[in-house]
Amino acid sequence: MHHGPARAFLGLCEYETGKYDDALAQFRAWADAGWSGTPQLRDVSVFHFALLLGQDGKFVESLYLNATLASRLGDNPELAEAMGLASLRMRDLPGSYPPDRRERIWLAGKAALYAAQSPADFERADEFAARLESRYPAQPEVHFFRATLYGFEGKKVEAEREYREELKISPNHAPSLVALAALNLERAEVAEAGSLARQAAGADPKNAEAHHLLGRVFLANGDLRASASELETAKQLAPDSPGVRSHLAMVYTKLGRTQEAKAESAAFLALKNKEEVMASPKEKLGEMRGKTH
Amino acid sequence: MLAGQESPAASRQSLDQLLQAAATARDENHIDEAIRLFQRALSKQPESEQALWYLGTLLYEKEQYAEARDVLRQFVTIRSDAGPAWALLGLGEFRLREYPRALDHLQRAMALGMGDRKDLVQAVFYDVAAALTREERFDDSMDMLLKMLASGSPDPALIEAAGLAGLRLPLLPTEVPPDRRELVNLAGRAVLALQTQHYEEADSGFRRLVSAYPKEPGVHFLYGAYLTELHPDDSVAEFERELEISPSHVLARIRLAEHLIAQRDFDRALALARQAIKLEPKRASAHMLAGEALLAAGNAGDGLKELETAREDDPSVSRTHWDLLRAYAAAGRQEDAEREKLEIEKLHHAKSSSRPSEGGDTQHRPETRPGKL
Repeated sequence: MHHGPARAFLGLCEYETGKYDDALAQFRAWADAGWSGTPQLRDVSVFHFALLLGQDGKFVESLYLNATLASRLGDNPELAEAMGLASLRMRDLPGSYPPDRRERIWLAGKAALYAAQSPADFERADEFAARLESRYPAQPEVHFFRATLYGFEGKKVEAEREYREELKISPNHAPSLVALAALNLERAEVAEAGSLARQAAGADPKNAEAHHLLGRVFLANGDLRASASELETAKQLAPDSPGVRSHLAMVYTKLGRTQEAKAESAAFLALKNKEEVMASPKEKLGEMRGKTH
Repeated sequence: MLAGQESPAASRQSLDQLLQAAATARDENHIDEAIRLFQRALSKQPESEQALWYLGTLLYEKEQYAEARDVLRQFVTIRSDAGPAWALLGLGEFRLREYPRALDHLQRAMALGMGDRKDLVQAVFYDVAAALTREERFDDSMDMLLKMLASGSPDPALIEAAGLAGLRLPLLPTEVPPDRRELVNLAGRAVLALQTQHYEEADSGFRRLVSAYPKEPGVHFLYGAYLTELHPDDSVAEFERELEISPSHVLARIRLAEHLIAQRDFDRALALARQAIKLEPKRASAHMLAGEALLAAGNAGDGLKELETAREDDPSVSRTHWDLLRAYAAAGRQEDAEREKLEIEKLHHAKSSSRPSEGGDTQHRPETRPGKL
């Protein structure tokens, strides 16, 4: 028997009655069962699923889900509000944030929504992002959001500048540290990348990407044992990340741990295949970002 | 009959007694007691209209909005024709920050009518206007505010609401950050002065706004819209300045295109209308102006297509039907022209028979009406 749509309905009911953890669990089960249902049910469920992911701190996944709606539905005030919340990494639901935050959520949301159009309307996104930045230059998350947008546009210099601006306001902002570490690693500036990734992992020990990057830094430096240890931590934190499994396979191979390397390679392939059938929001978003670079 | 069960007659009597006692408690202003008694009545008869309605209103008055909402929802499932109940439900949802739902229910109340409860009607209109602004339906919001102005003396609470709609900022008055209050108030006072025909005050208000906030998005568009009627040539510079500040401003393009069509500069008008369409493909007025410019330039085929798109996106704009009527007639398509004529008559009839005090249909007005902000 096919339970997918029932899960979605149940998720919506739990959301309405304020049982957000239960609702999130239902939506996850619905997604695992293949996102089934009528187009209307899918849209409304994806929207609420995305809101709950944001409330759970899964901002990238939340944005990715709503981006799929935005590219199809176009400009929509409720969608913009939801995307604004996730863009500014706020764990609030639309009816629960402080009213004086509304303007910045709206500006960020409009920028995110236009960037998510197909094709992306970066000019318009930039217009709203610039308004956000000029109105709220000293508020946390504003520069990080601007940097992320620049990243999507492939403007790495501007992105780096904005990540650094964010760090002036929030020195231990793990996502900015991770993003800067990744940019440094891309340029083979391994020492700087290592320092930033270490700072990120210290600030947010549960940040899988920080450990992943640290693992890659150790790999680049030839410290295979340390690399394996960091990548194993990353795997524990993000078991569905194909990137982590791929790097683990490489490190195990170099260490001569052939069986484990084979297992990680197989896991990597399985995750990649799964990703093609049923997009994992986080990885898919990373892929989208990669394509725009 | 099983032991412990009341007979229907006894149950009826005890329900009537409960309702009577609850009503008395309510009349004597013993609100908590009245609530308790109505709740007991509902435990005996969950569909008692009297108990649901009074309990809902009492909970609302006590500002227990979530509880009031749940009770009123039950009530409107039984009495879906009760405008005041939809109104109270929507007002409660608004206070619970469930804005899309509140707007839906408040508009339903307006459509059904709320009788002669003037305070309730004013509260509903105000919240509808505020919710429409929050949904970025600024012109519809302004229409609501103008209706409120027309139906009574200017209420100071309208200033911020008018300022937000005029500046096209999708915030509620309670969401305006402290450092934006002056901007919003300046805009609101100027808008209200204009609408209440205090022209000198409006003129100085708009000038003060532009001089205090020359780089603020929305300000030059608002000033340009004000100038359109009085000094149309001066409005052009304001719309152009707005486009420098807000490059993706669709309505500034539309206003400019409209002005250029009046000046018979069809090429520039068409270019602006097409930019507006690219930014907002569903904007009916942009298609209408593109159609007008194309027809004027002798391109009847493409012009008709644009006008037909405009009609499809918003069939309530009589100017589009007039354009189509003329274009079909010129193309020898008499049957199509006749159909447009009928549409114009229908719209005219609907407009003259709409009841402004009930709100009417506020969703299908074009934003290019002359004399409107």
